[in-house]
Amino acid sequence: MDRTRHNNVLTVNLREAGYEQGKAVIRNVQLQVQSGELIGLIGPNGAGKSTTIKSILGLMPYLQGEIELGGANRRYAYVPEQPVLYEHFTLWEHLRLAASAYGIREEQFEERALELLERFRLSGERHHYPVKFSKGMQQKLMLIIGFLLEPDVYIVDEPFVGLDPRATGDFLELLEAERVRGAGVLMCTHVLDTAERICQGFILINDGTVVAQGGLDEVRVQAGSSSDASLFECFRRLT
Amino acid sequence: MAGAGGRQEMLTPDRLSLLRLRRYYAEQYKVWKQALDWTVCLYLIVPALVIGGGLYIEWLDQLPAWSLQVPWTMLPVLLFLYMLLSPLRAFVEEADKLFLLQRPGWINRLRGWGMVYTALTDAILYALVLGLLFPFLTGVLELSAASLLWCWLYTVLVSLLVKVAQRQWLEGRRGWRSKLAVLMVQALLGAIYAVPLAVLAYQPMWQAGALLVVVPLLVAVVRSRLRSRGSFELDMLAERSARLFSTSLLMSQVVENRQPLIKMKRPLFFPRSGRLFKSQDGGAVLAELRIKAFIRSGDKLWTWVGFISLSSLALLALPPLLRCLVVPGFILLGMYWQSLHWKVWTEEPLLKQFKWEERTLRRGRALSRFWMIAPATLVWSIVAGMGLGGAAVVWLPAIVLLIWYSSNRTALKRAD
Repeated sequence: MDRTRHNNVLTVNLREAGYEQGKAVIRNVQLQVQSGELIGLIGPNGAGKSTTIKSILGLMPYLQGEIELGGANRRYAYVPEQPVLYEHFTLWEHLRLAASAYGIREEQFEERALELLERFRLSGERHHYPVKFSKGMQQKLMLIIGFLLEPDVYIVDEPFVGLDPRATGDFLELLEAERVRGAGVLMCTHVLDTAERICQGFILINDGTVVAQGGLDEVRVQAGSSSDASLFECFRRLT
Repeated sequence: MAGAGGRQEMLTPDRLSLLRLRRYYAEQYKVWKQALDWTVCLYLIVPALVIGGGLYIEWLDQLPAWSLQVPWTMLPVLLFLYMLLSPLRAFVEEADKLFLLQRPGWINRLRGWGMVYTALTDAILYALVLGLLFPFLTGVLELSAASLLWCWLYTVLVSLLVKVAQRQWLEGRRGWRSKLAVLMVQALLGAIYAVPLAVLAYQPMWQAGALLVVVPLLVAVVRSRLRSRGSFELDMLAERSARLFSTSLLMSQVVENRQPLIKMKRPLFFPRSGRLFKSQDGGAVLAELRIKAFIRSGDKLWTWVGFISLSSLALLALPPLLRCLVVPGFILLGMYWQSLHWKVWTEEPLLKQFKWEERTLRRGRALSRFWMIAPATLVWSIVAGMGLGGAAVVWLPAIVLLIWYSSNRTALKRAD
């Protein structure tokens, strides 16, 4: 992948990371996400995708390497596989907390939050508990928080698990809107046909290390597959 | 943060900490309110307070003989075990991963308040323990009030030191080498706590010197904690278990939460899946399944047997007439405990998926309760009858069982 460092919203150089010093689960994971780019992080179960994401979030106890956030705000938004929300906060209070944490002034927050809720047709649920929402709506809320904070990069973990086709479509539309705004997206997924369709680049991980990365053509070459091979076929060859 | 979407103050880490603390206490209140209903208060807590309070006042006048045999010098060991096992609060939540984790200032502030809260609650707890043991510690060990005050302060500071050091460097370690290293560090921390107490217990001024050593250590570990970002997951897990501690403690009596030591292919009791009741209506089937589940559960059965045994021993210690008065109280307690078990059992997913009629549920509950409490009623009334002497050992159980049977027949009729 030909990348200019100044345009990167996320630069990751993990030499080693794991749950304990000296016991690395992933090694030599280097990746970049540029502004407006959607990168698929792909690999079989136990390959190290979640560890890579946890390392980027700063949740791994043992980490050797660098993680650099770029862009105007140097901010990420994390959308986990199972939405985690505050049990006792309403939708509005979630937005208020996010705004408070990022120092958005009250008047500015109210204007933006009301506009976002209107836009996403959630004004009626403003004072509802999001923990009672469907998974699709919860993910939508997490993206709305993202819209409010304008992160430079989204880190999205298995977004399609448990979503019906309509909710998947809605989610992808929202993500696309953010990508168009200029946010980068690092998306970990097993749904290879969707990934092949929407991602501009791929990072394939196996046994805790990167085995291929780049656009689909580059991945095909690295996998030794034919020029019309699908991502699924490359995945089967590499893992 | 109220729910209205109008003008509201923006949140700060301090307000968020306060909100989380308030919610924690609201949750704990709800949990304990469910467990401590009037029967528990009437038959356990109030008598325990009255009897315990009276005894304690007597001990203040004159130390009991047994207190001279108690190894009071082992108290620091117990306190140190508490330090190791009780949590360091952090006021973080899993959802903080979404965006707060990127605001180290917020997370550190939450952690900071968590440490302050932990130190304050521990200070109160240690003051209560040392205060309650004051007559023994001053009477048997001949410690002065000033010395005890220094011991308390030293305990509070070392407690925070131990908890922060554990969270920062010891918790979450895997592998036997790491665990061995953790044990060694814990032993060192134990020595930091116990040795000065043992050596300097009678010299308050020297204890002040020990504080001068501990305070810089504490400052260093607290600063290290506030600078590091790596322990978020541990903080979150510890916070979750602190929130659920009361619930799991209370529910452990009614919910199976341990893996059985021996996994059997067939049940030990009722191995042929035989019927318990002639009648096969829905209520009888529910009662049968509930009784079988209870008896086969192991934990709950042994707790029940333990309760019957201990309460029978307690009855033996009472004057004969008082025994007769206490038996109904025990039956009420038993009914309360069994009702908790029924509530949890009927909430199990497999049972909930069937649409049970209210009448069936009532009948199942009444029928199973009768048979589960009847053996206990028999044992308690025999013990009470033994106190009265003669034929009372026969007629008293007969009368009690008859009353129990009649009251349950009424309950069954009402259910139908």
